[in-house]
Amino acid sequence: MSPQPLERLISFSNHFRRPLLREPGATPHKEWFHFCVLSPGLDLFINYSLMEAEIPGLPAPRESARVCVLVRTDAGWDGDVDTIASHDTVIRRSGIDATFGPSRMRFHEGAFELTAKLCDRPIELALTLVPLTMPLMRPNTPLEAGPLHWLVVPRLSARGTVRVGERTFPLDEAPAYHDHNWGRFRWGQDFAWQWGFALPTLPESPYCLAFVRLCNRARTSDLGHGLFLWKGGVQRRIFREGEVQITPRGWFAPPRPSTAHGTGIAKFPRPLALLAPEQRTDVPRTLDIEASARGDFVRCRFETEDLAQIIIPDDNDFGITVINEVRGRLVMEGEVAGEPVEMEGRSVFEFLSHG
Amino acid sequence: MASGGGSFTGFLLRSMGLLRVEAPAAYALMCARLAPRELSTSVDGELCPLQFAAESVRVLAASVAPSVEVQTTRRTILDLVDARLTLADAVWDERLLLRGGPADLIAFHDGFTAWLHGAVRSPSFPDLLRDYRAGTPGPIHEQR
Repeated sequence: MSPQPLERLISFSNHFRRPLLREPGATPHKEWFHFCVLSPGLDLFINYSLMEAEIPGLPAPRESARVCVLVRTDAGWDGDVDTIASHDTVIRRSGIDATFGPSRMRFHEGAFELTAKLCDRPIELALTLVPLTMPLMRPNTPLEAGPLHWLVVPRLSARGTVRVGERTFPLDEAPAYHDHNWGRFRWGQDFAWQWGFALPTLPESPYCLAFVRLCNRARTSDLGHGLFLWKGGVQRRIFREGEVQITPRGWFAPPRPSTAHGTGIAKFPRPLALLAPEQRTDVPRTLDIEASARGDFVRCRFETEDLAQIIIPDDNDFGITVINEVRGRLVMEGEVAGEPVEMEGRSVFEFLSHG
Repeated sequence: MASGGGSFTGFLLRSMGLLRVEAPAAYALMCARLAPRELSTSVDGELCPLQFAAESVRVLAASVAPSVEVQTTRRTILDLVDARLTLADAVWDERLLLRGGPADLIAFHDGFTAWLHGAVRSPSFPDLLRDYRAGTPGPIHEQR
């Protein structure tokens, strides 16, 4: 049987972009496959990445493979960022298929098959994610050193199991999200992003959305932004640039540490918390996104509920980049082509900050 | 230097050697911030005095006149690494004892921060930390 159009489209567009040859002096290549699963009782973040960095004394950038798994249960956040040795990393040239030590990601027979096993935390998973929407590619957003490319499959259905310590979470038709990003840049350059997606609470709701804003570090100048709306399996409406108004309101106050020596905000990898001990963030309490053009309009409000931080050492200097992984709820209303648009659902946003 | 076997001295000396090779800018910054001070560390009673110069650090056979004394435990170090404890809480709760003049303590903080920035950028540090956590020996880079 020939592959379905959706399977064919993902197979042809979502492959690894890592360079086969490393050029001396080239800006380092960064690439990651990101997955989120939002199920009752368990939110899951899985990220397989290949990050080049310049190492003193080496003529060309060196690539590091990492697997990041974060889980959020009623017991709080857990997870880690594992660096995988190069001899344990296999990126296959054909298809979408990569082994990162004990973890693997591949696209096979129309579905993403993900396995992950953390080295130092008792977290293990085996999932199959079936895409429900067509992918969208947004290439060539210019950063300081080169373009950043983004391919998103905003709605998938996940099944499988996740083990966290002694607990096993079986998943069946859990809402999920995927994107793939690649480009040439150094952490710490003059950019930041605000990105998010929302999936409906009701499975029968046809809508889902993704949002991205790329801007400078001070967030005073936009490099590009867009609000992307899907209905069923296809794109329904895209609002771009001047059609989108973004309004952050307030600051999210993380709950106080519940124990005498609790560190409050969960930070990963944990040793990096020594360089980013702050318990305050500049994550907004709510983010309003309003888009309108040619008679269509959409209004969204994202409300922050909880967050964890992924901390990345900057490439250029001794700064750090903090990726706030923010869980929340999103409500959307509007009208597209004369048809009312409504959705209420779970949502994840990322807000970058720097230290 | 004969120490090793997952000891703090072994961990510290390996870390300095790795930093010098894999994160030389951080190593240089650490030395610049701490020179010309003597730093005396004690972890569970295991002493390791270090003498910082502008571009290098060496181990002393015995502590002479430390500008900064640091006293803590292996448990506290691992709690810090695993984010179960912040540096501020460790000091506040007297699990990390620091002694020195204000300028010397600020220099220690700045030098330690440079060490941390190098540590998180050095590819070999995860293995070093794993060895320390497991108490297994590793090669020690001579610092004398």
